[in-house]
Amino acid sequence: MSHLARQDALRQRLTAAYAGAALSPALALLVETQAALSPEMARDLANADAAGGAFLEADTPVPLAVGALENVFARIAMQAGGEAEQLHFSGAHGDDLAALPEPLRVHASRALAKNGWKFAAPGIRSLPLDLGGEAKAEILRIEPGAAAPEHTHEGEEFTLVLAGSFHDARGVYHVGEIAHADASVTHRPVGDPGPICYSLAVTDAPLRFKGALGLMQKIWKH
Amino acid sequence: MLAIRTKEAPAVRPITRADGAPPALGPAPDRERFADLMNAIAAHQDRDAFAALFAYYAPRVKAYMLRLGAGAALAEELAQEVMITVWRKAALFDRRQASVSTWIFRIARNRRIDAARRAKHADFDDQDPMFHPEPEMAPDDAVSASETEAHVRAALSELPPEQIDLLKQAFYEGLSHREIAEKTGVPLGTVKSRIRLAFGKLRARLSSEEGSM
Repeated sequence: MSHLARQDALRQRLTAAYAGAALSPALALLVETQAALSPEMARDLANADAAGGAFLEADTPVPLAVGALENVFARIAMQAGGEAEQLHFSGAHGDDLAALPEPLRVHASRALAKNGWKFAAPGIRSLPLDLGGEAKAEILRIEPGAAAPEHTHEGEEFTLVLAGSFHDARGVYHVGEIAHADASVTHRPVGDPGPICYSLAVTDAPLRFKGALGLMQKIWKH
Repeated sequence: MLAIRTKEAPAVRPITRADGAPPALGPAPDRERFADLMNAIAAHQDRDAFAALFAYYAPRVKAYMLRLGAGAALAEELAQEVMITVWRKAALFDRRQASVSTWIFRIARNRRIDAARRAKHADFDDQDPMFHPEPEMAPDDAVSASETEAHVRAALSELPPEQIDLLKQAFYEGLSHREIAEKTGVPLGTVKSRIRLAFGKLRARLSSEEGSM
């Protein structure tokens, strides 16, 4: 499979899982960020959402509890609308983070204030994001020529390029593209010459990347 | 003032499937009227407009949550939360970007994804990523977004029923390819190739229309 065909297959797989709400919050953030960087992904998600809207219209209505509308009005009256969150980017590489697309930028701002950058390897720093759920998400800053330690994964790793580019044994990844690795792959990203490479890396247990039915039953079991 | 109808207009009787299953796609509501109702909520907190949207969408959102394995109480709660969000974020609805149905589907879907985080946090609203949009949007993006709906619906209407069912199971019910194969008895490889085909038709329709513009 060629590089472009692999990218296309990944977009299709992530689109369907996102549309069907079968992704963890961390992978959903990765998908939304990719849509801000890749016109192809934006188109696929828009198609999927429009199809979802059509399916919602056709669904068989299930009546709400008696008094639900009055209850909703009462809750609206009690909850004042929240103020818009002010984003701050004071800290190392804050200007670069401020240039990230939403919805990632808001998480980067919170993480910079709360966690800060960590050393990951020579020339590589990591900004861990706190997204809830079990998946691990971090923004990686890779200087030209810096190489991540070789690693394998318990689950699956998706690394979306946000700025610059990096390469591994399988090819070069540009802005809006995703390097995908699972337990069977050992990969070693290396920053390319040119601008500093930023990427969003999400590692998810294989269990997390499955149909919503199983996931929701696990979470919502009373 | 807007003419508010609080009851749904009599629907065109949907085509009944031979196997007795409800159709995956039904008659469309009056989208311009629904968009007017959204604007009335945003402009002057119009409670009658909200009640009309609530009557149509809340029972569908509840049905959607039930499909995903939520118990009746939780589905009720999530449907109410989605409708509260519709009220609070009404000013962010843009009819050039999406139909009301697509917009509410996105809110409901994101609420469902958020279930993992909500196991830890009680608050449910301000983190929704769709309300942190990119502020700037190129004009031609806005045009193509407004036409996506019509194109997708036209493409869906041309798909054979079994491909629509597959797309619905993948895009709406959140089933993996393997789960669809187990549920329908169709071999996994066939499920994959059919979904790829249906996916491609959604795209192909769009690119050919865009190319002719």
